[in-house]
Amino acid sequence: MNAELRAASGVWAQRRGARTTGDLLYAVYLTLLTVLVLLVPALRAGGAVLARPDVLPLLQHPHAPVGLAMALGIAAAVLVLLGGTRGPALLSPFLTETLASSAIPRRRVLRRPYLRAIVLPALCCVLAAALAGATLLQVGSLGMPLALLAGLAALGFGLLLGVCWLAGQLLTGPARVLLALVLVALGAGVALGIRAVPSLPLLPASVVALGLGALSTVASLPLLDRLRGRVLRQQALRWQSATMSAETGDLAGAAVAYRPPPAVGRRLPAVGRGGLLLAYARRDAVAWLRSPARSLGGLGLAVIGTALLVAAILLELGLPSWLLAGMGCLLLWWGSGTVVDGLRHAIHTLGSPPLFGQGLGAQLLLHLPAPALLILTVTGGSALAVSLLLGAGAFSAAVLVPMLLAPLLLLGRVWDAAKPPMPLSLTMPMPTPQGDASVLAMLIWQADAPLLHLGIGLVLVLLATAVAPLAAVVGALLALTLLAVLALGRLRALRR
Amino acid sequence: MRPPAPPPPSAIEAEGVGVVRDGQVLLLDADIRLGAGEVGAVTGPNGVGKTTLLRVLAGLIEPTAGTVRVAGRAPDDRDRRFRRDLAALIGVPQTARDLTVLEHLRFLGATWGLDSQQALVEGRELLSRLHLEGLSERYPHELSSGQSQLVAIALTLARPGRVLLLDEPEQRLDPDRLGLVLGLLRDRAEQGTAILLATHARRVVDELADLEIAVEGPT
Repeated sequence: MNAELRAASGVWAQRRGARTTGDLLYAVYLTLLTVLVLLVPALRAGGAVLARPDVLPLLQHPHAPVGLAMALGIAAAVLVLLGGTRGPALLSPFLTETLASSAIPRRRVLRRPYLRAIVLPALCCVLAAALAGATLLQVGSLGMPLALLAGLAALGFGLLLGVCWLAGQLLTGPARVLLALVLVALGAGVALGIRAVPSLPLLPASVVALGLGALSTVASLPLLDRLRGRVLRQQALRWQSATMSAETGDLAGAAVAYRPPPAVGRRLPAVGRGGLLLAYARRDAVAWLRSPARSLGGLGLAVIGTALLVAAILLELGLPSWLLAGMGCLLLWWGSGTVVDGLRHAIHTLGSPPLFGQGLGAQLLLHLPAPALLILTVTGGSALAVSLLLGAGAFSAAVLVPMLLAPLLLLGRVWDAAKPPMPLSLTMPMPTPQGDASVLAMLIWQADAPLLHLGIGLVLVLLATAVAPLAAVVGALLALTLLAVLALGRLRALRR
Repeated sequence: MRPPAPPPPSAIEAEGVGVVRDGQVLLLDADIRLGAGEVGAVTGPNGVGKTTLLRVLAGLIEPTAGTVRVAGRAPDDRDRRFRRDLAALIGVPQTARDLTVLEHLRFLGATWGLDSQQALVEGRELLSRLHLEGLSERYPHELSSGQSQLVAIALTLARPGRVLLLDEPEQRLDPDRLGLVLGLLRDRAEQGTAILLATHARRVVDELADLEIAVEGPT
């Protein structure tokens, strides 16, 4: 630490509410206790639950590392793209404008937040490896030394992912996308390479992974000097705005902070000839084109979600299929969020003096066709493609379910957009032997829409596979009615 | 005989600087040459690109035309020497909600190499020059709009810099306080700092500026 940074840290530590040594010790104590009392037993229990005949073959499959390499390639690409919006080397806006804008080298100022941030991907990888290890330990197909080696390898991969995250923060638009594509290709290439090897020696592979991770982390530190102040400032402001919204229970507001403002397509004709229906549809479509990266990202999520859903239904893997289906439903939900700004805007006009010629109901109806058409096309097209690829034909239940979910997504989005502020009663403490349970109620309240969508999606999958496709259609109609009633209830409450 | 030393570079040199974004002209063909200790006032109606020009000089926007040198270097805030040479107040500066006004100045001083005591003395001196002593223990959210502007100026002046950029420093200030600010800026200029400010106030131009740069917008 150089003299300027030491002096600044001294002043910073004297501020009101600064973390004391006692606070730090308490945090360490709490972390240790959480790991020992909650995490370790949870991992053991998770391992026991997953040690099932439909999960074990996947973990013990000789080609399991192939899937792992591809997943890591995709994760690295996702982190590179994420780095452009929220990178790992980030300070508060104030510290960005003072410390990071002073003559102190940025590698010194940003080192600590960077290292702290890349603990997250490292921890995710280690936890995933620990869960897989705990599962295999249950049935004795893996010894403790090998499980530990796998954990070390996971740590190495996690650190490499952290460096990819920083690379995304450093690079600008096209270079970032190119790197993401290269990483996906690299993951696929490594996967093919592993496939050609009869068995992968875990010890050297773990040492190489850990060594690469540690070396690349150290080598990435000087790159912190190359981070642009403009990027640091924008990301710091967005992150502060998002965390402030999230802290007050406004997750939608937090998401708005990460909705990039339109920067292109200024001359696209958002208004033109035609009736009201065309006018609203055109305005919606032009809005998507003016934020192309966001729209493409959302549609990409919808395509992946649909593919997972179709694969889950067709492959019939038991528990893994349900996990895939659940993930597919959630990705569809998140993907749809990028094309429903028109619906959100219509609801936000409530409470202001009327500006548009149409009332709220008419606006909602007029904003529905364009996203409905888009989502139906995307889910239908990708479901059909995946179904044909997996040899199930064009008219399978697997194609039907994502298409049934499309209109439900839109009504769910209307219900979500009309969500009122969090009731204060949910913040009342709920003492239990395990601590304050009110946080659970608040989390459920925050995630009610994706959870409802997840539930509806899984019920439709169950109906389509265990009963009949027609039962799924009936189920979707009932869900549509339920969502319409719920949405109308919230809209009425907002009007009052 | 030793050859004569080359003349010192201008503190700010900008030639034919323009900014176009997605077909929208934000700044059209601006030229500036400002030496050490000189004060330049950028004037012009709203929307002609005064702030854009300052943002280009501060390295916050890349120009789409022309060349720019600030303290002899191309603006790039990844360059430590550039960061040391340039102080700028463009927009509202970020403050920490849990630091008092005086602590902000001490913190800033510390980031620029002052020891804690020296930073305290200089922070108090600055507040005193702006008649803000009574606000030293206040948090940023406890300031009025005019007081916030004075504190923003104090924060900018609390750091070193061979070049100082200010966007409409007169905003929300009463005539007396504006006089205090102009006095401080005059002192900084006399110490050799090149100051370029965008302003709508004739008083600022008349009392402070050595040259006026009238920016013309797209026709």
